[in-house]
Amino acid sequence: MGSAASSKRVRVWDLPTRLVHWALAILVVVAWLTGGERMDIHRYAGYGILGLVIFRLYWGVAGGSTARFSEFVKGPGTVLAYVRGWRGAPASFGHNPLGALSVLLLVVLLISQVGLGLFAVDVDGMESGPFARFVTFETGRTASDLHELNFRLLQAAVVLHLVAIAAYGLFKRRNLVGPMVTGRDATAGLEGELRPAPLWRLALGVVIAVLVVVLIARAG
Amino acid sequence: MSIPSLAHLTTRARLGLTGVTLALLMAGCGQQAGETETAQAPPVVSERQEGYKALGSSFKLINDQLKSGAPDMAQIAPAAERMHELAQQIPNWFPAGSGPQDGVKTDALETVWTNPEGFAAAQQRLVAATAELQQLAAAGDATALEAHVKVVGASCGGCHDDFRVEQ
Repeated sequence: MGSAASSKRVRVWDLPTRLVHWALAILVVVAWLTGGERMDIHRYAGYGILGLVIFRLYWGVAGGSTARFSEFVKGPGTVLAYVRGWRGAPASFGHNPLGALSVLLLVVLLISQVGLGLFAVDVDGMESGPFARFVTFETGRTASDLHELNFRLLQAAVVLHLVAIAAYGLFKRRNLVGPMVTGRDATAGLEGELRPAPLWRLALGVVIAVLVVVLIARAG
Repeated sequence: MSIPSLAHLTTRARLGLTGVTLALLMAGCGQQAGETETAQAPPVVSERQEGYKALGSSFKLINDQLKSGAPDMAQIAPAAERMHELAQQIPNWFPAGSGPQDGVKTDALETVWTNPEGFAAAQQRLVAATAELQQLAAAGDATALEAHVKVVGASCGGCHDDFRVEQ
């Protein structure tokens, strides 16, 4: 990372993608710390995560180019080739083929985590998710147990995510955290261009996410 | 990894799963057949588990109704009555020999048996809380019920903190 490289910092991540990323990181920690303790806060954290995931799915088809699933999700052949040549692989613009799998894994685990939480009932029958009234106490308890189990999987996926970031820093001298904060990547030899999405698409996504969360929260 | 070794692994994984299933089935049988001293324990354990599930189920019904915005007292009142009945039965659910110290697989803590006064006091709190719940349901006072379910919930939670394994 010389001074010559830092003068050529290219835009990689648009603002909505970065905001969603960091808001998710914060809210998952909040939900973790409040689960079973402060269920009022836990419920709001869950609604927040739900809205962010809905927005991220939408942004994955309507957002800036590096946020789009069609741009970064690659077939097994490409992933395998990337893994085989990992040490020498040139820096990817946006998600690399392996990191794409990590994104998908995290999104799937977040969806199942929120989905189970909607039906979960606590051991006393006192606290419950907004959809718990559509299921029996015992089904709600099962949802709660699976909510707990799925969270362990989510924790493992987050640890893997952090280990991967550390590995890129250590073995490939690549700073992945900085670009997720500033949106700009100073890595030398990066090839690609962020094609941002128009503002109206952002507005539409926010409206969709908020609307769905409000409807779900009202169901309870 | 070559294909034969993968196939080998898969077979082993399958055998492993079958083994786990068998072990679980046998463990279920073993509880009744294995330990002669605690031969009485399993029926009581399942009785209290069913009792607490019925308590939770009734309480969930009441909370669901209150959250619905238009609570149906015709449903809340019998659920509150059931909770009050069950709360009074709790002392029968924990005879000697049915705790974790007796080798019984249970979420009850040993403190139920080592601190009987504390456990009885906790049970009495639930009896009192559900008695009032029943009265408020009979009176059809939704606002008072909404405040009182927190008292009932606290009596569940308070007892669980001291006498049940942490969730």
